[in-house]
Amino acid sequence: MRTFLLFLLFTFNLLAVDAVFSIEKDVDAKTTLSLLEDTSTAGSSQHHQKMFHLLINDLKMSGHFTVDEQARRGDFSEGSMLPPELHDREYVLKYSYSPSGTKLDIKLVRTFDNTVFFQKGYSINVAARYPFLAHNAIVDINHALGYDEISWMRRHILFSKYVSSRQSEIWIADYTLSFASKIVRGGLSLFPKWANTEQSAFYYTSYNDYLPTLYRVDMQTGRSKKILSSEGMLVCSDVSHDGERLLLTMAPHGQPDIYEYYVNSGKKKRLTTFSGIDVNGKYLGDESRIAFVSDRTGKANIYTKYIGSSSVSKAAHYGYNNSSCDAFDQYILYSVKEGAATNIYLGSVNSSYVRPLTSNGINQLPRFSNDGKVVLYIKKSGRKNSIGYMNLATNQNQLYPMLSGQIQSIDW
Amino acid sequence: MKKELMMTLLLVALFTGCASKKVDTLDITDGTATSQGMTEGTEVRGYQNVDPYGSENHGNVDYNQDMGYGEANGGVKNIYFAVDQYVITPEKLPTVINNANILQQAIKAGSRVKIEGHCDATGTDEYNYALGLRRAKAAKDAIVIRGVKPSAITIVSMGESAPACTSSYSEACFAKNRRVEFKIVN
Repeated sequence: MRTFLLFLLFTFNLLAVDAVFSIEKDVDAKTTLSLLEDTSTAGSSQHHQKMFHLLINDLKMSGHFTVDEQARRGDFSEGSMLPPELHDREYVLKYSYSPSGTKLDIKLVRTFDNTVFFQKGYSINVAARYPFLAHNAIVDINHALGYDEISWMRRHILFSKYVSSRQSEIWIADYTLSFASKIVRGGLSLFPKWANTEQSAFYYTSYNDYLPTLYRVDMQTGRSKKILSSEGMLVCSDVSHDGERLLLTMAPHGQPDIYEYYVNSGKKKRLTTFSGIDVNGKYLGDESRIAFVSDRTGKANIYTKYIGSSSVSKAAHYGYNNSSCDAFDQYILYSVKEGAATNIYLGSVNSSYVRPLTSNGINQLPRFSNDGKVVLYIKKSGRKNSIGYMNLATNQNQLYPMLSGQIQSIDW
Repeated sequence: MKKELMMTLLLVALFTGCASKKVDTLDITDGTATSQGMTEGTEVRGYQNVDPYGSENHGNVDYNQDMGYGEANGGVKNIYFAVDQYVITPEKLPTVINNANILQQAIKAGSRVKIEGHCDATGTDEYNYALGLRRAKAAKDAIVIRGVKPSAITIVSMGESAPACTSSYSEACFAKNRRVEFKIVN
């Protein structure tokens, strides 16, 4: 009996992939690679060590490389001899990180014939944003080798965090939080959401006026524009692919419902009319259908409906208290309260498919990457927050702890 | 208006840098991408600029922290709720009657009432804000039934953003945060 119970426990654990527990498959099938830093510039910049670790981290997070974590220095020039101990690798990534911290040159050398397979230079304006040098380089190397795209790595994440009662801040960061910068502070500013796929603008809700007010901030011009206000609450939950329609949760008469807002005309239409809670609208597929959270059966759960239709379908096939969701194409992510734990599940709105993604602790605010291949989420441990990532295709996962603050909402 | 102007000016300064500088854009049409419109003096041939937000650091977007209304609650009491609930239970009736009487007098004297719905920190999503809103709405309905003028009341959900108790991460503390507060706005 004990053996049977142990077997069951082990089996259930294997069904879930958590940030602290990863199963790596097909290690032999991954490309072997070592790094070699240019001797002439090595150690000359402030972020020299961090650059090495970022390159290693990005290569591992891609799920396509078996990376040698030994730091080495050598000749950066083309055709120079490679150290003998690297001859059994498939590739050597030579890199030269400038003393200013704003330039990175890379050469991907194929080991067996010592030829440069790919090379490129990257620059940034200020050294503090050095992580984007590494992220862009690894995205390009991955692309050059023909692997599945990992362009999500070079996107900015946008999040709000509480710093004290009635006080929050909005930050942008790279996915590892190695670069993070406060962009809105003072008062209460919540629910930031990128306004388009280019990340050239964002929406957020300000509580610094008498009523919750939605603003749009253009990152290029710095202009902010008031969109609308609503009594009760106001959240921009999703933005259509073309950026022209928003799904808002509003409560003009004290009743939280989902509205579709047309950016150009300023017109809006109410999509849900249930007398309880309908929130967190997310476009599905061709954007004629939405997923959303509702308490229409007494507890929060995930439902779908076609825009303009009155009928509603339950979408989450697991859990009885599911208060947060995200959507990509026909797939949904949702958080499930399970006793003291909150876990994240992946499901399909067209079938009963369910896949647990976390297995313990408090895991909230799941978000798909723009290509649907990676899941971002927040893992809470007491007052500590970490941003976690799970690569759905490769099972690679990682947690990045935050130094302070409670994350309120996040987008990328 | 002042706040909006301040924010706009600061953001313009932050994201675009000095007036003589341009914001970066990328040209990634081929493998030898170059940057366009880069900050004057920093353009480097043969390098793809991967930094879309100009040369200045982000930050310093400050708000006036005045929430825009004064508070003088004069004997009005909070109403507390069970986990995930937004129904005002019968034992809360004395509090509702007490609050309705005080608020009615305040409105007659020319004040407005703002009802804030609050939640504990076990949820941080939109649903939590909707829960806070439903609590505020339930409180509004309860005092309106007792004669308070509905047009003088505004309801807002504060979600988990304004905890009354921050001393521990316990149920006892959370219970103090699942509440409705009544603000008399002068």
